[in-house]
Amino acid sequence: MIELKNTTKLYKDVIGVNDICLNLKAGTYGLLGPNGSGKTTLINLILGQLKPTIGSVTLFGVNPWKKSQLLRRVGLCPSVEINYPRATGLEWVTYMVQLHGFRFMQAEKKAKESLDFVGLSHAMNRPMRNYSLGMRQRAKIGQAIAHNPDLLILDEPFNGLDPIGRHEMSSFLKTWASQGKGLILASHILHEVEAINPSFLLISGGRLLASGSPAEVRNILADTPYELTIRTTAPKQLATLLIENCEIQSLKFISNNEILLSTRSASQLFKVIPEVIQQHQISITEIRSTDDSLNTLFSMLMKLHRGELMQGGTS
Amino acid sequence: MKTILQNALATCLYEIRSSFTVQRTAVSLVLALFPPTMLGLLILGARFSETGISSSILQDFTSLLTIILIGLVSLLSLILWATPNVSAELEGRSWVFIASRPRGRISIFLGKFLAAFSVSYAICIVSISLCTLLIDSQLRAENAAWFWISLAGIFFLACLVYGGIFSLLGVLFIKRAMTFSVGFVIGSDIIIGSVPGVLMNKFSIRYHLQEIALVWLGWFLPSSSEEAYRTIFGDGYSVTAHICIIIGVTLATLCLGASAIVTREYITVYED
Repeated sequence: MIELKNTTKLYKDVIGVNDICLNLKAGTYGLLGPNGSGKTTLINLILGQLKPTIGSVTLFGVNPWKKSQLLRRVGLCPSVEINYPRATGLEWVTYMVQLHGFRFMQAEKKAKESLDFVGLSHAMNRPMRNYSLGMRQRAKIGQAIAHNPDLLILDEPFNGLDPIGRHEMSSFLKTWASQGKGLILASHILHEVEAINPSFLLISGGRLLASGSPAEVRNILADTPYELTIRTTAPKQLATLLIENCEIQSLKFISNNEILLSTRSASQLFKVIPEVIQQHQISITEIRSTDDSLNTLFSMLMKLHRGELMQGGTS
Repeated sequence: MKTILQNALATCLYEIRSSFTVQRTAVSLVLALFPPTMLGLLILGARFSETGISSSILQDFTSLLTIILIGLVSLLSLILWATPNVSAELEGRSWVFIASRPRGRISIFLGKFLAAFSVSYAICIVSISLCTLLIDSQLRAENAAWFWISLAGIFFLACLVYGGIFSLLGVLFIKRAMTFSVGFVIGSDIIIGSVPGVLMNKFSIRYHLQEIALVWLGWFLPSSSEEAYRTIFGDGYSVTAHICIIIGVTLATLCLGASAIVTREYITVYED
């Protein structure tokens, strides 16, 4: 479906994406990366909105920069806000569908169907300035799917949605993915993307740091340094046992019932903890990863990528 | 090609429909009413003048003033509508929605050109009609209908060619398209167009429009003669040749603009 060969995009002396090689078959992909990581640049390259400085991009086997007709097969829901306050949802989506080459009547019919599908038919004749953020997000998705594309690209689709909206969005994306059509979901929030169960593309600093199924990505991260806070009734006993049975890099007592552990092998630690607490009947009330954020994950991957960190814990 | 034209028409209609705001309508009204208001003041001033201006001289002056004022208004309207063709979409962050459509870039370029042309020409027509009515009612002009038809034709060509030029400048100079457009008008039509030479001024658009006006309207420059005019500006071509040149320039600018908009990269990474 999409192939990138050593693709680099430079904005003068700033690197947008850096030497990315990818070959994506039809399926569901979660494009994950912190803000400024190059996700939107990558999407723009795939859509032929930007020309690679080095390397090549093909979409459905064709160079998208040269053949914009290809975009008929793609639906894009960008992260930017809709800025047509006076137009109604139906007018805007109809216009967007018309630009795919449909006549007005056909476009309007498709727009109505699509707005109905995203649950916006009740408000489609209202000006979009009166829409809530969630409604505008739905209208954006409506214009992306109305022409029945083979590939749907969504950039930060969960932005600004309330919990109900997020749940609805997840359900919609799962339905779309189950149809066997292509889906690329760009986000900087891991758990939102994880709910769709896609293959991951982890990008940071313009580089593709890791890719694969959730299990494969977890394997990459399993043996990397990890920090953990454990709340227990017997902190000293637990600390001693963990030091004896596991490769602990550092240990600190934060309070009377809390310890902060740093290990070079998270997988080993997670194997040892249940064994220890079961054998010695230690009560643990909370285990919290202190560096669960995506930024930490990416900085770790970046270190792995640069060779500053070896899998298995040696640095 | 059919799809491109269909999409351009859809863009044009959408643009016009969504531009019916109070602000934009007010600006259009002010532009349309400016020439007849000025003309009315001129006629009123002449009526109360103690020196007593003859009706024929006043008619010549009002005709000239009508052309100058409507020319100014049409240029202003075209600059306001045509030059922000790309910048408005980029700033409004709507570019990404349109550019991700098949041939979306060409569609928006041509669609916005059509919208700029339609609105500006509509303003011109309102203005021409009011001015003609005023001249006819106050000065009893000879052949007012022909005056209206001639001006409608001249400004049709003017809106077409300047719309094309300003649209092209909007694609080439995104950040300062309006400045470049004003610069173009001053440089080409005021400076080059006024150079007394037989070749140089032929490169300005004004020269060709002026020549057409000369033939269609008959002699309109007051207190002058055709001989003097020809000494300064040189001989003209046939009206057909001038029209062909204007349409040729329009097509050339549209082709250049369409090719530029397709081959240029527009950075839309607002929040990567």
